[in-house]
Amino acid sequence: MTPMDTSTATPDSAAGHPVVELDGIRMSFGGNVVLDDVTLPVRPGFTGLIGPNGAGKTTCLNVISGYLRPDQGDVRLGGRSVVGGSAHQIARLGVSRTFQTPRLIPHLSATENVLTGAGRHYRGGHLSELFGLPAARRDERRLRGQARDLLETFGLGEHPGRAASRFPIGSQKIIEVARALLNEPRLLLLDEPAAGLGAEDVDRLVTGLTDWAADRDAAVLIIEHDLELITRLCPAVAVLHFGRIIQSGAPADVLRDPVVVEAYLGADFAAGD
Amino acid sequence: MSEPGRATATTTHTEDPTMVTAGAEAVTEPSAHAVGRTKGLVAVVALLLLFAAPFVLNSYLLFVLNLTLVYAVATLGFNLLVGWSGQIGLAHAALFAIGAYGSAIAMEQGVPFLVTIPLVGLAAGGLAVLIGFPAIRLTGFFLAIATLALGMAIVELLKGARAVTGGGGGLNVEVFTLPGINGSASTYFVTLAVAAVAFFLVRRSLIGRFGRTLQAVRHLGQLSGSLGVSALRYRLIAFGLSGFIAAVAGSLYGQLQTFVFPAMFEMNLLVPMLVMVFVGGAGSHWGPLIGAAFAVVLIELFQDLGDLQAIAYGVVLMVAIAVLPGGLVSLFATFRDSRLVGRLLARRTASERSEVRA
Ligand SMILES: Nc1ncnc2c1ncn2[C@@H]1O[C@H](COP(=O)(O)OP(=O)(O)O)[C@@H](O)[C@H]1O
Ligand SMILES: [Mg+2]
Repeated sequence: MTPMDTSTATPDSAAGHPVVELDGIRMSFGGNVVLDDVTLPVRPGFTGLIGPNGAGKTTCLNVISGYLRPDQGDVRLGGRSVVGGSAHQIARLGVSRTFQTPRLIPHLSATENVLTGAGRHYRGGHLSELFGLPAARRDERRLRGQARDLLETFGLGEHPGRAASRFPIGSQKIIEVARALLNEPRLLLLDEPAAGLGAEDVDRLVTGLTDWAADRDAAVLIIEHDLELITRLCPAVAVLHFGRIIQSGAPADVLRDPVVVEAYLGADFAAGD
Repeated sequence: MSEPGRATATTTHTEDPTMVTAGAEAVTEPSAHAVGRTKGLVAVVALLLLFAAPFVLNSYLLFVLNLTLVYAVATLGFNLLVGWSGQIGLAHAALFAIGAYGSAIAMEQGVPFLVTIPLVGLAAGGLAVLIGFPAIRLTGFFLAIATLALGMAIVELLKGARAVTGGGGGLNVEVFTLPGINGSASTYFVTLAVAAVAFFLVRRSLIGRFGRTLQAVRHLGQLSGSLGVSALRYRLIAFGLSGFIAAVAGSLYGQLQTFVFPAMFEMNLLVPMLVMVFVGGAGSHWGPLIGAAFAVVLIELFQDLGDLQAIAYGVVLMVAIAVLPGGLVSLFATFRDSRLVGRLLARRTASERSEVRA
């Protein structure tokens, strides 16, 4: 089970240099090896990361976004190693993510929650806010406008002032995506964004994401169990199984691969869910 | 299982006693500007009324009002730390003492009182940052115990440094008066001016980006890193600011009491300070004022209880958290969100919304 050569398997490898590149990542927790020699280039556009529960997908995101430091291997963002950087430093380099269970500030409005993603785009500091300088007010107005626009892009523009906790869980997940986008990321990491979403919400999500990505060079790495969504969005997909990349390429090919089918079904039976 | 901090993700926020329920402004966004303007007007009128107080109140009531404002400022800082950044740091009474003592001692050295206010603020802010360095990596019980111990150590130091502080016996405070105004009215005006500025500035940063960032740190913990926010940095900033504000309030307290001694800054102050934060509403904007007023009344009621005072406050604190997790200000929010008020306001919001959009 050696990892496939992903660069030849990815159909549009001509689409540009990888935005982020996992190179030989090994990650273990107290002797339990969770990622084993994971090499994965993520190019501009959508890339899917699939695999059974416990395969190590979320761990991959945690490594990229700086929450975990790998035992071995390198993470290169735009060619530069970011291993050892802390999560907030990596976020400020233009890496945004969402979480498997949405993490919003419950009593703050949708817009305010989205605004918390704007950190690196404030030109003025906290002191200019404290003293109410015009620069601070301009920042606030500009970013608030962008936050509202993003909510509209995702079809949530109707209740920008409603407290986050009063939205259904599906909408909360979408608000979290909008928050990630306000960072104007060059790399967006989505952890099962469609899990728990109704068909209508999935459509909002897909439309919003494709609209957003259309005029940008950003790379989006999506972990998702909804294979139809992966096929719809991602020209490239990689399959993680017991911490190894067992296959990657165009979804149509990958999802037909007997090894992948076996991994998915086998694991699901074994896990009993 | 694999997300850092996932364990806290599953706890529902309503179980959390420090839960912020009073972010009233933020929730009603479409009319936020209009609401803000009304509130601004209310604040200005209230301020004018407060400035008139020395002319209408007897000296006892003026003292009580002055004390309420001093506590309100102290609680403003405490609430920033506890309610907004979510850290139960318990050195606040000691930092308040630093302000009272520092100001009095600096005045003995010839520093004008008004200059001592920012000076003690900076000193206590710096000290709070030092306390914060170990504390920001701790949470809950351990954070509380560590900061409590440091706070008690500070008060012990005040007792020990007899040559400068007068030790357990206390220290006289030279009273500053504005030219042409009698002592207690002058002290009151200074307190009111400082309180107004403090509330204005703190509120402005809390309703904006700074407040959002603190809440992100509070609710997301280290996951706020994914928003480009260093949780540790903001926790430290919260410590520094709360220390600064505590000492500013302490300097005003010294002026009001005219005599300070270490026992003033022990549990009999710290526990009421917690009462002020939680009864007012942790994480609210005006809670500190309401909490302080409540606590001053309690202090009057409990004053004859002696050593039982701290226990009595503790009971009040527990009852307050259990019965009213959002504090007294949440009652206003509940009232505002109620159907009757909603219907009364319904006609207005439509026009306000178009106004805001325009
Ligand atoms: N912080 C951690 N400590 C210990 N074990 C972990 C940690 N994070 C993940 N794991 C383990 O790593 C494995 C992969 O988890 P995860 O990356 O969440 O899988 P997936 O997202 O593919 O379902 C699981 O067995 C999980 O228990
Ligand atoms: Mg996962």
